[in-house]
Amino acid sequence: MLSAFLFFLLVRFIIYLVKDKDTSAEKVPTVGWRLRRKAKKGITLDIRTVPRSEEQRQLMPILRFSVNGIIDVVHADRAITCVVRLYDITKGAAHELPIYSTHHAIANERAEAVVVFKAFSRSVFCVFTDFEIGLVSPHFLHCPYHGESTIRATLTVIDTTYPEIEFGTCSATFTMTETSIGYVAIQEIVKDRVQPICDLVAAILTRDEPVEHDVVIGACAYVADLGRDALPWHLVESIVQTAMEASMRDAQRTALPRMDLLKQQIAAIDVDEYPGIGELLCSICFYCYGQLGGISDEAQQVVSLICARFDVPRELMLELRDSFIRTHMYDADVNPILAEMPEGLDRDQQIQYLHDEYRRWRQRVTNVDQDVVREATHRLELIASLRASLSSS
Amino acid sequence: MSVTAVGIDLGTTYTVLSAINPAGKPEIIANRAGDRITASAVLFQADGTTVVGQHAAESAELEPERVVRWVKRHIGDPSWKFTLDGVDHTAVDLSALILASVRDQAADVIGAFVQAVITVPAYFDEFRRKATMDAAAKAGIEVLRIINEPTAAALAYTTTGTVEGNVLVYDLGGGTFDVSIVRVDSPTQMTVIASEGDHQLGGVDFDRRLAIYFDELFKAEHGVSLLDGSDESAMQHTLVEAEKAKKKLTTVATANGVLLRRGDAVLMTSVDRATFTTRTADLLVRTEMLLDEALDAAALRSEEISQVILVGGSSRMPQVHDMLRKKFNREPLRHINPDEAVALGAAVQAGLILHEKGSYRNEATSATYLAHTKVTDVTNHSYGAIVIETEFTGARKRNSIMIRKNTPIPCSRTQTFYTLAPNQTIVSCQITQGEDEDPSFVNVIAEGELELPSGRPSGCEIRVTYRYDANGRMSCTYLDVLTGISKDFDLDHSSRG
Repeated sequence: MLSAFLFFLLVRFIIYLVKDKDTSAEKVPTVGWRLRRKAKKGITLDIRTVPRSEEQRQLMPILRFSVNGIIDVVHADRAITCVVRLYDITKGAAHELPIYSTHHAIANERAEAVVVFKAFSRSVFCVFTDFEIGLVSPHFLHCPYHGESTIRATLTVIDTTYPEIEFGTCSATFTMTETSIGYVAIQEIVKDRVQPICDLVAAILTRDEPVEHDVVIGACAYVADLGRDALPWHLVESIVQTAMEASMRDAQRTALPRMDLLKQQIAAIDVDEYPGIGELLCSICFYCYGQLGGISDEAQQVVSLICARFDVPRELMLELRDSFIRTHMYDADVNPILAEMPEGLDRDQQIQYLHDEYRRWRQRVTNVDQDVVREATHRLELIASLRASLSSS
Repeated sequence: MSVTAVGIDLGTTYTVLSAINPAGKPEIIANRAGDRITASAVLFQADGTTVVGQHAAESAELEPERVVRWVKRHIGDPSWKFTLDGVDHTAVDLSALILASVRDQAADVIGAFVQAVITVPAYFDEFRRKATMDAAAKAGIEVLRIINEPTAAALAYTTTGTVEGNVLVYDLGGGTFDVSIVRVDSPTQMTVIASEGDHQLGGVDFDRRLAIYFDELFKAEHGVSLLDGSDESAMQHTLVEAEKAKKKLTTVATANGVLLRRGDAVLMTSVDRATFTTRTADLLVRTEMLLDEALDAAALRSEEISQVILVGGSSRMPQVHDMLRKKFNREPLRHINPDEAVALGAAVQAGLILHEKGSYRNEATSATYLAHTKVTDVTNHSYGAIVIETEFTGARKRNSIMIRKNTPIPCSRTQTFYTLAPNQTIVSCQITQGEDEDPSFVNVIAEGELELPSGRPSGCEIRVTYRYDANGRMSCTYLDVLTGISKDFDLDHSSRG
């Protein structure tokens, strides 16, 4: 028994050394920090930044952390939540800059997939492995960071089922520099890097028929507004400018069929480089399609491509669609529900689709916003008519 | 001193009042005209007096501008009003007139009373429930409790001992539709499992479809429309004819003798049941989709429903029977008059409350159920808090649902949130009603601010607790864990009495 325990310790020590060596080999300048602590109540946490390439850091300043934790879950069926808070303590309390402050609520679907788990039996050891829990706040992007700062990080693990129980808290400080988060180089490389997105936005805006100037301007303004939270401002500016120029040119810019061109452009974007780009592009699409007469078959395909490529959850896509598309935007001879229904569904799938749509829109008929109520009521009527015709066919 | 247990079904087209009789049973109290149901219509006469009831409804054809009907469809909507002679009447004002009228008429039979249980569609939101209570208060009625119409109907059936198991209540009234699934364990034990509804779907929508059909026939014959709004009298007459035809079609295959007229142009026509069914198929489908929703929410299959109860006058339509028979493979029950079941259940509920309070005594043997009956209802909407959710791509507002729809009441839920910024001195508290996570698609039903001391880092715990008690009282507490400072909200759509 004792020898087995000693062997276990030896293996852990070797892993520890190997990991250290790996980290230094990545040459992460000053953002690297690590902490190892045996906390109370059966929690072991091992926190470190995840190395990123120089180019990655320069384009999108992100601090990635990994947490390796072993939590002895004494009671069954518990949800555990990790909380990370980072503070800029160099500038003092008066100028304290929140670099990252968040919590992952159990209702947060994205976080749930990553940090929240349930233990279904007693005394289960649960291990967190590498996952991204920290990003530099957009505050940095709006107020470019200069100089060097000391950052305090605190990680807390909470039993969400019984919030009064705190498994453990770990904290550490590290230094962050202007270079380490990439502001020095970002100006130089942004234009090359954003070109694929510019092309794609231009392609979405450009149709076979001439697009009205107001639509382009509106879409670009929207990109700028939405992009504020999702992308560095320089990148957004560049997208807007390039997309506008491109959309003003001839629609037939290449010999490729339009969808093939779009596919190529979507494929050309590096998913990892642009968190939130799928949501941004979906929003642009829906904004434009709303202005241009609703969702067409082609629009469906474009949105599907974007969602598949950038892992945009279906619920999010529908939410965005509902925000931009109104039934009155469609031509009079088009049934909006049919237009928005995915192609190739069999009868049962169509009924299920209508059922899901009905459920979503029915929640909105009691909204205080009468525009929402009107839209919801109209959609419910259309859905019921379609369902009735499906039932009788 | 013992008081009378009264229940009122304030309906879109008809209002019904019931009371527990000396034998301990709920019974309908007829109005002065001897009718068991009173039309929810108000006539403003030229002399300044008002008339409520069938006479008012029938006057719509002759004096359409002086008659108002289907007020319930607008209750809770502050923008809606009925204007006559330069005076605005809100939906609350008009509902108060209807309630006061039925109360006064019933007082001739059962004596004066002040307290009553009033029913509302299960799918009514906080605003509409509150507006209904305001109407009652304005009419001088102290609301013992606001209860859901299908729950009341199920209670009426439950106490007769004729239903058991998983019971589906299909309540298609004049202006609203509700479906509830209740589990009846015994004549004194009833639990609501799930409830769904649509307060913009009811018998009047079926009438309008028939009216549109008649309009098409009339236009083909005379080249003018009955429903274009230019002749209010013709429009009202067409709607009345449509309602009559709908009722006829419940018993005969063809409704003959439909008389349409506008000015001198007249058309005598008919409509058969097949046409009616085809023209209203999508409306029926809407009820069917809600049945599916309710079954999903209750995690039941249609074959697990042991009985189906029909409530509301519009549930008499044959296509409703056919659809339910096909879906549940059994004959729907209607041995309590569908027009009266809700009011009867409301009276039973009033008896239960008054008995519990000790202000009601009924020595009849058949009234012993009042001492033992237990009803458990559910929340009909989700309740949440608007929070800022920080994600990888930035911060966004979300509606974080605290109490989910169809949660058995009473219930309570606590969740911890965190302050977002250093030196944050105010937490914005917004209480929502609605199922959507997108804040733009839910209603903020109460809001306020929790003030915090300055100089603290971000990430301070704010513990939020939502409670929904058996009396329909919703309350919330936002608590700053560190200092113990808290902010309480009460959203009360029941009586405090």
